[in-house]
Amino acid sequence: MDYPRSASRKAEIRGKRAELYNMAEYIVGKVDDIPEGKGIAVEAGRRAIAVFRSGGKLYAIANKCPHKGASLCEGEVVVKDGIVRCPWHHWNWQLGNGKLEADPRQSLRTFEVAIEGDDVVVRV
Amino acid sequence: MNVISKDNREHARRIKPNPIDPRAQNYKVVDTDFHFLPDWQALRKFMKEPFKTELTKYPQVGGDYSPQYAIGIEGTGQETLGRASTAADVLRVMDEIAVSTVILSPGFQRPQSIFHPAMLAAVASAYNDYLVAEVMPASPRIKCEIMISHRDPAAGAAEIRRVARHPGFVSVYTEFGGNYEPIGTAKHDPIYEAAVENDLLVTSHVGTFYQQMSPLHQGTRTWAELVGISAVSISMAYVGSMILQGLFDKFPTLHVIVKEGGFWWLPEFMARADDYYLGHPGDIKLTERKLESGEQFLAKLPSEYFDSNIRFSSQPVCFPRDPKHFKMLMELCRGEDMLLYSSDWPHATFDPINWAFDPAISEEGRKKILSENARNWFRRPL
Repeated sequence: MDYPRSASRKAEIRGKRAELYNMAEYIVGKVDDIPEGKGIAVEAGRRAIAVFRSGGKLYAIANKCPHKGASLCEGEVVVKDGIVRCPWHHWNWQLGNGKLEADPRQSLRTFEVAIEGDDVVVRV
Repeated sequence: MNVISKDNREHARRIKPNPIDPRAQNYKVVDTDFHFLPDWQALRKFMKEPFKTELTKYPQVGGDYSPQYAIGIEGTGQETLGRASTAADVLRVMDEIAVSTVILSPGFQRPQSIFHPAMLAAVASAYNDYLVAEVMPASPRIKCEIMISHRDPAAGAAEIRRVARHPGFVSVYTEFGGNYEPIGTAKHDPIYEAAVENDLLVTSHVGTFYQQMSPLHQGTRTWAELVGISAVSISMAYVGSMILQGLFDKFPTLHVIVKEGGFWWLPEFMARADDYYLGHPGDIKLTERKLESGEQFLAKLPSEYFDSNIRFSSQPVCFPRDPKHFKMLMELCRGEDMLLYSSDWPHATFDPINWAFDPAISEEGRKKILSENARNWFRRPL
């Protein structure tokens, strides 16, 4: 029986899953590149991704606002609400789950973020 | 996320995305609604006394409506994206939003809120003189609207005639709002006459909403009601007054452009206006213009005046929830012919040109919306 799985076994399974789903990991920058309450944008593969630091945590979401295409990395982060406000029309996107605050049926893609040493890594 | 493997890891490239579709460069885009807000102290230098001394700040009486609670913006929410106070500012932003020519609207969104006619006239004249002196010489790519006191049509007409010789002016700015009568009434004919005489368009731009002076404001509570919905209903009423009171029969060559007044309401208006007109035409002859001309009816159906006399600036394009309805609405409303692109920079309802690249719009339609419609509709060269 394979349970409980060891850490290395878990890593092996995730590796196979990543291969299967053609996922990739990208180093988006150093931890210090993303100040609290701010965001940066990176090109990861074919995607433009915005990475924010809010309340000490890192979040990664699709950079392009689904409304009319604004660049969300330029938006204001409201830390207490855990949202980023689109710089054009102030639509409030929740950083944790990518949902639109006023209509949670609408959402944008979120991506896993991790810190490894002083690198910030995003899985796309 | 537990790290799985470092073998296939790449470095992501740091980017500064430009959210404006780069294909805009191919179209010589005309932006028909860009808000210019000169520094008030700079403007005062162009005012006549005693206003130059007395008007230490913008003399708005009605009070600012603020979207503070709606979107957490202090002030009027009019400068969300910045402020263009000089020709250099305008040219810089034009490059950022990929437009080739702009038509400047006043940044004081509510000339209607200056109730003192002499104050309004003083501010308007100073604004126009400022444009002539400080903005027009900077670039032929910047065109301007003449600001007038439209509550005082004779004064408004005089102001138009005073500055019309400058080719940088291409239209006359008026506002639709909930605290003033619809501007299609005959008493405003001096304005239309002066405009037509000088090959100028007349703009009807959103201004006051359900201001404090209107009973309608008392039941409203939200910004979406005020700016979203009331703007459209008032715009319709103003257009209705122009058509049904025979403005375009008296001035058949007059070109009007409605700005921020909505657009998808066209089919309702056309069908309903035609039906109600044909069912109730007896009082057309009693309107001032028809009493003057002796005519009994309108020269054509209400719906037919849109093609000959009215166009719409596009912003804000509000997409229906089902994408295929956008294409249907564009066809129904003849959007490719009737819409002239506008940005509304720097307001919180800004529209980039990006929507014009929606697959529902043909390439020919895109050229018209972004450039050709404006160049054909404005009587003076852009």
